Amino acid sequence: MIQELVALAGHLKDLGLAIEEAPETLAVANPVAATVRAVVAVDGEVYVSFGGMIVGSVDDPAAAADRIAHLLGMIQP
Amino acid sequence: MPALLGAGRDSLIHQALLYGSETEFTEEALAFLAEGRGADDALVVIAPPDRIDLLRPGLPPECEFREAAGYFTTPPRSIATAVSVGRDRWWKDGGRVRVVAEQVWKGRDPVEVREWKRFEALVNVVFAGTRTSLLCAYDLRTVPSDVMRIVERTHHGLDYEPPARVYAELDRAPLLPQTGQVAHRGFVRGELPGLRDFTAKAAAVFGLTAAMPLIMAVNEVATNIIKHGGGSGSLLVWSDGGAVICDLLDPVGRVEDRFLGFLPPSPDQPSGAGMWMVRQLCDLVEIRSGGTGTIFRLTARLP
Repeated sequence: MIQELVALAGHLKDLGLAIEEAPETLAVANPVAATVRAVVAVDGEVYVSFGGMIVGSVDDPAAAADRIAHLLGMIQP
Repeated sequence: MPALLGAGRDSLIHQALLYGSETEFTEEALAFLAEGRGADDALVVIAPPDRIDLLRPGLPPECEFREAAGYFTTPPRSIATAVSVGRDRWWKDGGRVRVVAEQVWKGRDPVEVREWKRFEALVNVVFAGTRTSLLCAYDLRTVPSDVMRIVERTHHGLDYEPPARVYAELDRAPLLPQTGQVAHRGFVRGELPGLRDFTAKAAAVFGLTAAMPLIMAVNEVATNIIKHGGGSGSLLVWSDGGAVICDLLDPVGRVEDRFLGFLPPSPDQPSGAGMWMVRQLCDLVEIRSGGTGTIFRLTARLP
């Protein structure tokens, strides 16, 4: 897995999110409400999800993880 | 020198007139329209008022004039107008239409410019099977250079490229994240009434009171996500200060239709017109889709 995703995965795990790692993507789910998940990839200097929405800068994986957690935390099971 | 290339009478001809003076514009546009007079084509001019004033004295009274600012509101609405009028009048009984059009570039924000660049490629898809000769005029003194690069790649006889390639390139940049206060809600099957109510209340908080078109658009996209996408998704409602924006996120589904919602449905089409309606209801619809899911970003400008 690429370095930027490794860094992001660490922060997501710290937040209690479930992670599935692939070579170029990271599937993230809220273990309490896992009906909807996010798949995250790296596009240049940013993390993207949902086909092309920027979720944060690769320079700040902690902030990106917070944003993803926020997106997934709102989803109702 | 203006570039006037292309051939054929039974299909779309989409040419560019690249001009450097009012005289050049007037002479070339009138010459183009004069060819149509001999063939009994419908004649149409869509341009800013000062350009219309240059052409009107040299054209017959039956020529149709439309002001560019009123016609080029959004690409989907401009396409809808042209298709509607074309089906009713221009192309009826084997007729052909000959159009001179000049877009308004000044005052457009970068997103609008990008969408009007997309329009240049879409014209080659939407009107491909129609009897249309279209001459798009560009003032070389004022049109931005990035626009000119797209013009070269979307008009016959220049450095033409397949529309899908140009379209995909315009979608390459990911969408910026939401800013400010964001109202959010997940949805699955059976929750659309609640989602509509949520959209109405959130839109009102951001200042959009006449929100029914946006609510209908959100409902349609959410329905598509439930039925044809990942089965569930989430909605984020926010504002950039000038518009209310609804992001519908599908973490699994992937949009395969490159021109989704831009191609006009035929009157007898039983289904598949939903995204066409969504593009008509919103001021802007942006879609990004790939291996990480899909985002539909619907924008409704504040009055």
